[in-house]
Amino acid sequence: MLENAMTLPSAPAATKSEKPDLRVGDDYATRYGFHDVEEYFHKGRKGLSHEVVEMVSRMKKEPDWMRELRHQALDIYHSKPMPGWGDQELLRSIDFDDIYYYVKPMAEQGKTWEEVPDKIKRTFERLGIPEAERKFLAGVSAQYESEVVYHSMHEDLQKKGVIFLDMDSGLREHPEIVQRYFATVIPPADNKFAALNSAIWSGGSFIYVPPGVDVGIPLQAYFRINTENMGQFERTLIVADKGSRVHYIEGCTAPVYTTKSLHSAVVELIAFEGAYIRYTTIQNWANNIFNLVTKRAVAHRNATVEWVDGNIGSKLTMKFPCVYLMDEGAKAEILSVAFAGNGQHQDAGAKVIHAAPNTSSRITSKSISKAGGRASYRGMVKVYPKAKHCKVSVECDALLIDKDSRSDTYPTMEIGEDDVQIEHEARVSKVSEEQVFYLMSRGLTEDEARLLIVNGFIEPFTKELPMEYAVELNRLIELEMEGSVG
Amino acid sequence: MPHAALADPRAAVQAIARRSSEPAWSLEVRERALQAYLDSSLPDRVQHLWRYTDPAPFAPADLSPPSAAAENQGTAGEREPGVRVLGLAEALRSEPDLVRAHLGKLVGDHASSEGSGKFEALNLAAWTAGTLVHVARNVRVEKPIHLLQAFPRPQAPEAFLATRILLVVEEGAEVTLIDECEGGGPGLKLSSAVEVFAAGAARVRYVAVQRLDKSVVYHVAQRANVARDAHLLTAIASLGGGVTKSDFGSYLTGPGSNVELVGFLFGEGRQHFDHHTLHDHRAGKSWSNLDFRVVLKDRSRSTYTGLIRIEPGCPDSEAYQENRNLLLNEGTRAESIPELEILTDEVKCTHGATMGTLDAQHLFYLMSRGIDRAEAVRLIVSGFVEPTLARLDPDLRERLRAHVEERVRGL
Repeated sequence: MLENAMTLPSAPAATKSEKPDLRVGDDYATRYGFHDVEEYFHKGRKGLSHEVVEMVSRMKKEPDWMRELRHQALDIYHSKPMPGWGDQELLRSIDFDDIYYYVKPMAEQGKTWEEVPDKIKRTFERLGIPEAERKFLAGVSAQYESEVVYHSMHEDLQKKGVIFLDMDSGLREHPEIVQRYFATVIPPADNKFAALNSAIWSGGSFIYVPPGVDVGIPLQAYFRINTENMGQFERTLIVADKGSRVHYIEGCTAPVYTTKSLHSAVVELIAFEGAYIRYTTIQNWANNIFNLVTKRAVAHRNATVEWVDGNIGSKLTMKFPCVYLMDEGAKAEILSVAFAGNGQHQDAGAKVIHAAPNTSSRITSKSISKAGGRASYRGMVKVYPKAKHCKVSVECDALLIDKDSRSDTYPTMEIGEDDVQIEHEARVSKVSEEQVFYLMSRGLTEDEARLLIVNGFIEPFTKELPMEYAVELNRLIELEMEGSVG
Repeated sequence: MPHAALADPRAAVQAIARRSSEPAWSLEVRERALQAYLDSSLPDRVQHLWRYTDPAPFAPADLSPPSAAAENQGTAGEREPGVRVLGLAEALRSEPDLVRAHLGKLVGDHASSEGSGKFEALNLAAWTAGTLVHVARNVRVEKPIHLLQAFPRPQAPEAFLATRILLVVEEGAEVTLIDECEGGGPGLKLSSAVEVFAAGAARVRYVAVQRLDKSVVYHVAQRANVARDAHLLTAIASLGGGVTKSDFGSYLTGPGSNVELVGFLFGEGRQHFDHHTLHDHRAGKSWSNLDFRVVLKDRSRSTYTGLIRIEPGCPDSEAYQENRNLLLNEGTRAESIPELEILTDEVKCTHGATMGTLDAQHLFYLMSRGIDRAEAVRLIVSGFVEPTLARLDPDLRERLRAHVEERVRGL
């Protein structure tokens, strides 16, 4: 599992590497054949340098263009300043030099089930996550029984000509498609974290859907969780050719426990004429993770892109799924939910760029802040001159559960065209005492009443999820809401 | 250093203080503010407050005031007992304690007043014209106090002028202040600072009517401190100016404080407006409402950023904010950034923003009734601003409606 291979703080790596009871990333050597340089790389080093980038690229036997792209991206990463906005205090607390950007995969194997925090274990229990899956999610095991499911699904997809691979395999097996589209939506120079990802990316998904093909079932990273799904610097590219349809689901409701502190993914979606892409994320990182993600889609003529984005875990999430509406008839829909608990800052939002006439977008954001958590909506809607007849609707609802919590709304609208319809609304409120009273007078306890209200509040989001995710999400909210009375 | 070009600013500031024989403490205030101005770099354009407006034109090359400064009109005349309207320089000498207790406390340098930035410090360092309005306890001023500042066309290619208003309203008092400015011309950089102190249960109406020449570079910062059960209405009509950067804000510091801001701006030609508002709730049971409407034509541009902040421990507060933008033709640009920062749960808080052009159905309806297109447009634009005017008392409404009508006639 490449995720574990990528980086981790020094302590666990040093103290646990001698324990031989795990097989994380066992097949890595055979797959990439990097034993030649193994000696050189044995210890891994903190910090990021051209040497590390070169090594990673060579180990993966990548084509020259990718290696050069990584090196260029690294230069950009070093030259770019940190974002001057957002949660400056938390951002400043990231020590980039104290991170292993690439570690020999064996290095992290020492983790055992006993070391997984009780809170995480309890959550697994409550969510009804199968035993084998739990170990995987906790980073203890690399094996996961859904592999079988994945394989049979994989055959069906192949018949349709759909390519669904991890990004590294995608680059190896379909270099021409990858080279054509990789980093075209999010160039390394886009922002510091996109540059970082471009320099050191590993894992993620690569999907290509041929013209006119409807993938039918949602493609779930979940199914191939034991390959390189949840890497630290994962890179996902989805190309939906003309008239095709695909729904991709990333992550899962179960908490992902890892000792690493920084997760910085890049996700690029390209929807050609008439194509439809829905990308669903439910992020539930452990509460020590900085989750700084760049997600962007381009939608061509009559194409539709939908981001369905749930942020529950992490210490700081900065994630603003974006859609560029490039040609007439393109549509964007961004639906997001953020739950900020104690010590968390969910800085999430949405970004839509209307670069063509007759395009439309709808943004719905729901956030819940509890126990001192902070949820921010940060959004951007831009309409370029001549993009006539655009329709934009933005709605932000925030719910504050207690008096220690905080909710922010920072929407930006830049409108360069007069013939448009733009609406933005935001509301912040607490759980209404009247509603609680009503439900309690019907025999519910106060806890139950509040939970019901919160579940109702995020219902527009949950109803967009596949059944099993919706059920898990509701259970998770139940768990997060426990003891919120008083 | 961004101020390499600034010719001996200390000497200029000393000359300003000497000219009106200011007390020593006033010069100290000026010098400290000047230092703050010189020490700070131009505002960061990454932060959204200055993302859409280049701060460089607001920095003057010379602080010495032009020989012919604006004359305050309308300040003279008999006042009711308990009301004092004085030139600020005069008040420094005649009311030193009053001025000293308030000057620069809301808009000044970062040491004297929180949240003040570079250009606020500049004003405190280099103001040359100003007015103090003081209303004593429980005095109700029936007639609005009208300050009209008419600025002459500058003689030099560049002229800098800073003016201040200090409005101190004691407990239970009631007053309306109309702050109107007009005139000026190419090369004029105008800085204005307005500090409003509304003590307990005071009722204050502050009306800012800006009709400057469309070449003036105008910076205005207003802050109000609104105490327990006090009520402040701020009404803004932004009509003139070439580049206008304005910042109107209130601190709701007492329970039961009530703040309302209504405003509109009309942009035409190549006018550039950048308005910011702040409603900072620092006490429970405080209430604020904001309604800001923007009409743009030709190649004019407006940026509106408005922050509602409810600090921790301010239960039962309510804050509402609405920003509507009407874009009359292609080539106009509008930005809207309404923001909420809510740190208390027992609150009601909403904001809304809309942008769009004239509703084709409305136009069609009116034209089908035999009204020509131009008149139909005028009717719709008047109707767009009307809900804002309707919030005002009849006398203010009529006064502002006259400005709206003047603009609408030109459509």
